[in-house]
Amino acid sequence: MKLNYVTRWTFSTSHKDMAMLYLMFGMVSAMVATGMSVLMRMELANGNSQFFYNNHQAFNVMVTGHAMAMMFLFVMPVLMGAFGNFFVPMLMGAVDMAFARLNNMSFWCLPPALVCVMVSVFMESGPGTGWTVYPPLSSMGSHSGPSVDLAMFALHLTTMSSLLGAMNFMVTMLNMRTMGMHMMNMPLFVWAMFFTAMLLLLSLPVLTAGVTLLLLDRNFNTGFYEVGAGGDPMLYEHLFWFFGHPEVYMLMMPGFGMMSHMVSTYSKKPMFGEVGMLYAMGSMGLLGFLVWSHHMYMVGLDMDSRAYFTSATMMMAVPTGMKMFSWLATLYGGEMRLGVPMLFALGFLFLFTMGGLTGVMLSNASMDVAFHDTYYVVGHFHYVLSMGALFSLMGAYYYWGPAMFGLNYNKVWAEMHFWLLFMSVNMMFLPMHFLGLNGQPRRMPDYPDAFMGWNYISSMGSAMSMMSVLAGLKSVLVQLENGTNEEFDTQVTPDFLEANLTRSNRDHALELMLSRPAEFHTFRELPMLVTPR
Amino acid sequence: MFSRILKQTVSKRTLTSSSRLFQAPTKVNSPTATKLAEVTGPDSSLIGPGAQPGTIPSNLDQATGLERFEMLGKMEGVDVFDMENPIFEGSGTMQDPYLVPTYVGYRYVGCMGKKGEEHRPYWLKVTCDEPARCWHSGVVFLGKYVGAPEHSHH
Repeated sequence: MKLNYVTRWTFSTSHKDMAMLYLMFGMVSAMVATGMSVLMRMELANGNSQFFYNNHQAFNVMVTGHAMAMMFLFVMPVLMGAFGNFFVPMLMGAVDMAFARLNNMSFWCLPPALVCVMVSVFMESGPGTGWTVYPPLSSMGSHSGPSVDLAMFALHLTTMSSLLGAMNFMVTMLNMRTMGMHMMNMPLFVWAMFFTAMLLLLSLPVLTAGVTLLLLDRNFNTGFYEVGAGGDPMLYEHLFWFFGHPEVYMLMMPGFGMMSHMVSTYSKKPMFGEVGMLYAMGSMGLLGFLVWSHHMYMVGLDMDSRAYFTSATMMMAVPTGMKMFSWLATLYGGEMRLGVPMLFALGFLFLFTMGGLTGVMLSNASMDVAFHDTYYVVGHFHYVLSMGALFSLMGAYYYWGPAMFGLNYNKVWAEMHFWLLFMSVNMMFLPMHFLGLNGQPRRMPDYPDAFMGWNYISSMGSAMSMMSVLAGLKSVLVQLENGTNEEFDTQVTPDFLEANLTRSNRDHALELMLSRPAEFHTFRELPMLVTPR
Repeated sequence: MFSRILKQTVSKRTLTSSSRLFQAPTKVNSPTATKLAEVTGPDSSLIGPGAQPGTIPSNLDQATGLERFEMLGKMEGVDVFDMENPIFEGSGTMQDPYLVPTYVGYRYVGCMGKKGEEHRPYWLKVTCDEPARCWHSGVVFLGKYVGAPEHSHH
């Protein structure tokens, strides 16, 4: 039965269609969030007020909107929703997700969330709370009006979406693997999504509880976080970061999976230490739940807690190091091809390592006395996310894009996209470390003149990042409009053993040998993974 | 046709869908099978006994139909639907390739080597036309059409 356009894209239950919706939604959110970041950087381009007319609240509203849109409405929908939905069933030989209608419901929670965030930003004086929404700044006394409430509703909506998605992924992975495919045979991206789903499932309810109590405090006169009523704002911080820390691993973990696929394919070697990689991801997921208070060293934690959280956080470097060295060992001795996905992968390896090193510095409670709430922290997490999560996401787009659309990308535009992004993010975020070390506080739109030099360079980096976004959009446009059909051209994506031209007959990755784009139900007959008798 | 359905619906069970009416009645006289050998067909031998009063039913207590058939098989170590490895013919050489059952003329097969641990999964598109050989372990596969002859395009 042929569906009309509106019916197909509104009520679709196909994992591929849902993935496309997630991808388009993520792109819209990314534009919005990037716009906000540019506004912030333009304000900070020079001392004194540049754009916000000394309205510091407005600056902080941009901070909140940028963070929420980037994390909850761009990175998570694209990594989990788009690439997860499209490729998890395909990599396991399944025809679709386990709960196809739930998939649709999961997506349609997101557009209202984007609306809530936008309305929240533009309503009254906006939520100048940051994405952490700490009380008492977020309480009625400091943020009256419905703006913060709408931001909370947006969090609730994204939570619903993510929980439904996580359950769907887990059931799919546990029950819909094809014939002969055991858990240990699942590709690393599928494993990464499995751990991500577990993190989502275990941590999001805690956020929901924390945020709901805040809503009650704000609107129904409860006093969970009100000191005057016998409550404690620290409770919120613990609840929030018990979710918040696993959240950053949720943003990273799918990227780790994608990285493994890209590095292996473009080195023409199987992944080094695949089982080790999988255990590393598992232990990162577990450790992710045990380190949350390193975000709160400065709230007056006792010495023992700080000692524990410092040690536990430093332990995180072990599985991360395992992953990094496994990727390097895969590269070593391989026949490396510098295709566009590999450029993004190499960029990831280099820059994520830098972000990881500054993370080790920040994990130390005594060092954090100096670093807390400075631009050092902002530099750190942008190296990890803006260059870790984003680079893996972009790399995955170029790696799997031809399989998704059946169209080749234009290598010139794609490489231009990469190099502009690579230069701009470094120009933007490296100076932040110097500013932070010198004590420039985050979330402040003004600073002493001494900080002007590095701030100016950082803001120029931001302007360049706009150019990289435009190059990226042009790259996508060229791919969709002029992209040569994969079926009649030499494939862009190589496999690791033989020529591209044999891709459709044999490959190390199931998703790369299917027709491009794949058929509606992908497989006419279940593939089988066999151990010959 | 329509009037017959309507008559049946009204006379037997109002608001019952026609598909329900057309279902063949299930034989209910076969005792519940506890072993694979006792299964007599898609009948009540595959309906679980249910839980004892006051206890929580296990999966085995209440599973019915194909699920129960699969569980009975698993209890005896039998892969009743051949989900693990449906290849039964051939020895994997060029002269005697493994024959991969297919209903559509080709099938994606992931090879893991002879012992299943020789190499990571390596995927082949196995057709009925020419043998496909794993580049890691050298095992050879060939498609074997098992569908209805009139549907084959060979």
